[in-house]
Amino acid sequence: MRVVILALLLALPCLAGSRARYGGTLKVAATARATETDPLLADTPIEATLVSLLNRPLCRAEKNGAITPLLVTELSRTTPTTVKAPLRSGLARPNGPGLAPAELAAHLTKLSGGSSPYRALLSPLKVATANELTLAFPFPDFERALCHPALAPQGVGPYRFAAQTFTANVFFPEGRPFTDALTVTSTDARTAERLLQQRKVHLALGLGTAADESALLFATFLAFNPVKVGPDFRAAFEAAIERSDLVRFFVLLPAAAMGQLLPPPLSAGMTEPAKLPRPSPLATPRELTLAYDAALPDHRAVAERLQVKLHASGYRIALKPLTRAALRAKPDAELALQSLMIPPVPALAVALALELGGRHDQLAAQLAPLGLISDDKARAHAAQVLAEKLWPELPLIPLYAQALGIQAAKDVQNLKTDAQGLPLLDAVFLGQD
Amino acid sequence: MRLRTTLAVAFLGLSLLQVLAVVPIALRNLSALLQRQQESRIDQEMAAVDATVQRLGADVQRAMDELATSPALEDAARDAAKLPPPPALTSAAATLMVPRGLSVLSLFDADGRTLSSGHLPARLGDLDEALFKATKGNHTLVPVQVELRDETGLHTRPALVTSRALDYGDTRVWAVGGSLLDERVAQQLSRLTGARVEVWGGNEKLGTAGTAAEPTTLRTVSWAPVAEVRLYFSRADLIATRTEVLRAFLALAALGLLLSVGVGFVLARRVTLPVEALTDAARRIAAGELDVRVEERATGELKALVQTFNKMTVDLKATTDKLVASERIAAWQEVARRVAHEIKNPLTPIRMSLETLVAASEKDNPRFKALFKESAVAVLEEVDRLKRIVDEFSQFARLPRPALAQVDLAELCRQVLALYAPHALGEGAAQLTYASHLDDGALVSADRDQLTQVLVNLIKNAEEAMTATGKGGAVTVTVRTQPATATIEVRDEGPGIPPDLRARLFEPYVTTKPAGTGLGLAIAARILQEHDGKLEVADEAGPGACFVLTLPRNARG
Amino acid sequence: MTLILFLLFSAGPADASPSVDRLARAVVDQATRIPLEAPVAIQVDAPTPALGRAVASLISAELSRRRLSPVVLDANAVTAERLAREKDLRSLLRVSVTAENARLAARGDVLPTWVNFWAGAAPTRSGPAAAIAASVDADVQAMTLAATVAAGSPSAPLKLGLGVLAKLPGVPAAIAVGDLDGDKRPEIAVLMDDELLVLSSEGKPIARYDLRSLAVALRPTREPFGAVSILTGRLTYVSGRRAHGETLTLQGGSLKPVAVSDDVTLDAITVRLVPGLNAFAAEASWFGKPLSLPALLTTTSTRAGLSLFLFANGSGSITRGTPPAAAFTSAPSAAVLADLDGDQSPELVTTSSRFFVDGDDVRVVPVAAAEAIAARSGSLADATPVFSGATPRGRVLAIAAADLDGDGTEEVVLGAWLADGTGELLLARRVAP
Repeated sequence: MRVVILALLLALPCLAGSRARYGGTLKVAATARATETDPLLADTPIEATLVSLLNRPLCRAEKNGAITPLLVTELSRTTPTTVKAPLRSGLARPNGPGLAPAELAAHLTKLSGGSSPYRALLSPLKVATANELTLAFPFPDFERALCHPALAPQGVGPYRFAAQTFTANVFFPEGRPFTDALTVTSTDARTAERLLQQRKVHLALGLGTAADESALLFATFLAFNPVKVGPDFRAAFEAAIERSDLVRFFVLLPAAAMGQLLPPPLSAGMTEPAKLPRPSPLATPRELTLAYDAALPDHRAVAERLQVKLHASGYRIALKPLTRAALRAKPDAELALQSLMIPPVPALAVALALELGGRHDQLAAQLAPLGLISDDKARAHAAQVLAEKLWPELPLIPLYAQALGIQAAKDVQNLKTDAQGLPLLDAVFLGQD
Repeated sequence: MRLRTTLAVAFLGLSLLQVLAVVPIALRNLSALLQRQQESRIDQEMAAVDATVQRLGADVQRAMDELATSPALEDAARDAAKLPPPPALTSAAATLMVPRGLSVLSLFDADGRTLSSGHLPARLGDLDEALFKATKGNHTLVPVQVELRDETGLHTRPALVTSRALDYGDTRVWAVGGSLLDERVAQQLSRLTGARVEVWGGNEKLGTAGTAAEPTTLRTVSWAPVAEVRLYFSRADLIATRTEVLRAFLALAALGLLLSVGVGFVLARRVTLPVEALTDAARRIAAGELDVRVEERATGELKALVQTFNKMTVDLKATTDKLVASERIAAWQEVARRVAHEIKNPLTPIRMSLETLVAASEKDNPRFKALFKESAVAVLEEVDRLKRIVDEFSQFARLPRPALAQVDLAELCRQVLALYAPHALGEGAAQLTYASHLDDGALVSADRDQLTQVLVNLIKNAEEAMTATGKGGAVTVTVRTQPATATIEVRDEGPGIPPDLRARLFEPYVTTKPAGTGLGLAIAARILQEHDGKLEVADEAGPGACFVLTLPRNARG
Repeated sequence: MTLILFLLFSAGPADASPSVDRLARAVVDQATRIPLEAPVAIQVDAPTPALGRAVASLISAELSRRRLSPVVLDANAVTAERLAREKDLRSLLRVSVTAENARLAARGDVLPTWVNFWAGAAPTRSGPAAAIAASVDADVQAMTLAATVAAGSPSAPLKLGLGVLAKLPGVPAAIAVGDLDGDKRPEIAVLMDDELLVLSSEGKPIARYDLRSLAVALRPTREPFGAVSILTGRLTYVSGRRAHGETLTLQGGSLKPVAVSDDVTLDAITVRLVPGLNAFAAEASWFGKPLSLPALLTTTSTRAGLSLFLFANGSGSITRGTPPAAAFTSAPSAAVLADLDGDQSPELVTTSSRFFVDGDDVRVVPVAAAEAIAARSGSLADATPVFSGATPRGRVLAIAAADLDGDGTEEVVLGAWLADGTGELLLARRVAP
């Protein structure tokens, strides 16, 4: 009798209500293939979401500005230039020993001396030792920089990956994910929509146009070599290309035109750059090469658009698809499309713009004055002013910024995004409301 | 030239004439025919090309008509007003283009702004005047320049497009689509015509397909001002055909010529053989062989001729035999006459002498002794003469068999000539000389004495001939050796032998000398006959007679 | 009871609750947006005369502070205008106050009433009117003013009044009510993520216990979860975030650990946490005897022989002295058995069964109805509640019931989780309908 009742009770479907439910497999459809596994390279919104399932950075910046420590127990300043970041103990990793403080310090040191553009985020860092980070100059936004997904050390994340499935990491310091497992299917948009409608997947990443403005942080720039493209290139570009067209027709939505060095959520209140007079078409056509990321269909469509539109101004552009690593490593092309995940902090966004524009050596000099401003709003404003000043000097043309569109089925609960606009899939649970 | 060669050459010449007359004309006609054929073939190909081009255009029109009524275009029109344009709209042209086989398709709104472009997706949102122009034409096919891009940059290519409009409420959507004039068209046309097809847009070659061996004929299909299709039809096969035909023709003609030469020779031979046989027979008959019959087969007139000839020969032989017989009889009659005459001649004086004696005796003439001595002398003379005649006759009649021994003719001649010395003829400067050219090695089996006799006879004749004229001259004796025979030739510079006597020269009692018996040459001829040789008179032009003795050589000795 | 009477009869401006004060000030701020001419008539409608009097006096105090010569009218809204004109008062402020769901709301208008005597018989208004709408959280004192004394009769329709008891720095994972310091008055203990807070029954904080220095659980839970219980002057807690639970005593205003314990006894049932999940193990014990539950347990409460179990799979069950058999579905996020009306038999106080609500339901369901539903395995949402209300915001995930004020009826303390990561405690007590 008791057994029957037990069976009856257990047979009850997981019905509505109340607390977050543990269990189940979250089926996710992604409209792009995630080929990169290194957090430094996997920075498109979908790739960053998936890679951060396995590799979490030190902390997470929440939408309200708070910072949730993840790998460290706390982030606090003992002095304006010393950040205490004691690593949690017991950060197990799937292959190899757990993360040790010395290893984290080495990781940060390697990143700040490496070649990725994201090293600009660590430019205030002078020395990284176990559990303590010393800055070269005061910089209040440094903690926000540490929360960037690209700086995650490898191996500590809410999920582990085995046999094509993400399985919950029960030892994750923030708490194990609600779902036991997560599967990702890479398809195109239409199939993803269909799978979602047929309830074959719970979530579709990269679908949908509705996204809040604050998530438009995946910015694409056109970096150019000012010597090789000639003095009139920027003016010709601005005259020939309408960013609204790019956004409307050529890139995956949600996207918005980016007319400033800072993406739209950070550029409120900035003045429009001065309009350059339209130059006459070149007498002799100039041959240029445009390098772009072969894995991003947006890049391809934009590259084709640039090729077509700049033709009339006298620029003969040949296209050169590259891998992301090759693209980041300063390809020998006169033009390059570079896309980066910009942190939602104006000072850090300016640092990344300086880095992309080839001014790594000026980073410390430009950021230090910003770091002296302790009030967040004032510092943001000063960063905007700096961005406006840098606009004509940097060989960088911002194009558009994108967010991640997400569509979820009805039984997906607790779908939240962090300040970077990326969904926290480990906080999602399944259940009917 | 011989008749056969003449005939053959004539035959050849006739054939050649025919060939030369016929071949160039035939060749020219053939060439013209082939050319016309190729032209007509090219025209047919061009008709097919035109049909293909028409079909190309018709395909485009049909595809566009189907597009204009398709629900997908209606959806596009409905979505046209939405902002941002849904991905279904921006990719509509690409999806509509492919299954309808169009290589150019753009959807425009009423102002000419691109809503979707299948061939140049990067044109979204822009005005495309070149392509939008096609909307002015009322469903006609318009050649336009279309922009395309590839990894190296933007290019313009010609295309044939047409436009259709679709109204959805008060929004109008234009669909402009068609086919690129590119390598595919070139390939299609090349497959169809087998020519080398080049598609040119402006000054740029856009596509080429097929091969055509040089030399070629050019035809063009023009879609001015944007494109031109050049079709190169190879004339190589025409020329090859022509060369082939010419070669074959010439080969046949040569063969024919050869054949005709051969046939000509054969025919000539067939014709001339009897003629030659006839000629040969005639020559032999002329040389004295009357037994000749012409065996050659012949046809027609020649057969009649041959038969007549043979008959004539037979008749001639019979006649000649008769003649010879009658001549022999006449000759015996002549001999008998002459014998009788010769005998009669001395008989008379004998008789007279005896009669005188009788009379004298009766009368007891005192001068009977003197008379008896005179008459006895006279009778004895006459008896001598009779004896001489009888001797000669019996010598002529009963020549002794030759006693053969090896004789060196040169040595014999030398010996004989040694008896003669040049001397003058009476008073005057006329000299009589003796010359000789003697080859060694002329060894024969012969009776020395008889040969000597012959030689002496001949030399004597020569002497007497030249003495008779009083002019003198040289008697030349030549000994020659031939492979099988040896000859002695005795030549003089006298008056020669009158032609009518030549044939009868070696008959007895034929002489030119007033006091000759006419037997000398006959005996000489007989002697030579006994030796298996010949004695002939060489029929030469020029003064003087030449007698040739021919004897079989005896190399072994 | 005494407390309430005291509060009622001493209601005056100085003693009025802060929320009423805030409401009055908000009303006056809005009213003075238009130029008000003195003297100003005030007319207040309120659910109880006490509340009305409190509001009116506070408004007039505020108006006199602004030198606007207030006059309180005792009339209803319609006649107030005529009265104001008769009394030659130049402006009339009409406010209608409601107290629902722990919010005090005031709606009304202010209009000029001075009539130009030349207008004659038909009075016209000169000058603009303004609408007034203000609402504030109602604290417990305000709710008390708004409610009449509980009738004490079980047959009277049950009505609960809600008031905000205290604001919490973090979300409340568990609540317990009991006498911790031996003063015969209950204290309220609230377990949060990194601290344990003890408050008086009025909501004043008494002691704090910092959990941050304790060892972190090897498999932490994602949300703060745990249980607190106060038994015989000792406070026992377990937290999903900490490696171990403890037993504490309150000595001299601070909590001191006495023992380490991983079990906690909730009313009669002793439960143990499942590491990493927001549930207790299905193997519990009941008065020392092993009790095997059909599923993982979320919460439990026992009153007068009745035991309520809420399971992690969204079902729940009520038993009398036997292991739970039948279960109802759509179990709420928090529920407790409480004797609200003093008739010695408990009622079931439940909240909403939805995952995310902003403003949770508070319903009172008779136990018999709940049992009947459980017997047929029905949904608890189908039960006809005896009372149905709502909290102003947040969702209630922790609940405890006890007689806070010693009047023989139990009050319910609800712990609400707010969206910004803080929490609040609400008090629900029986009020007159």
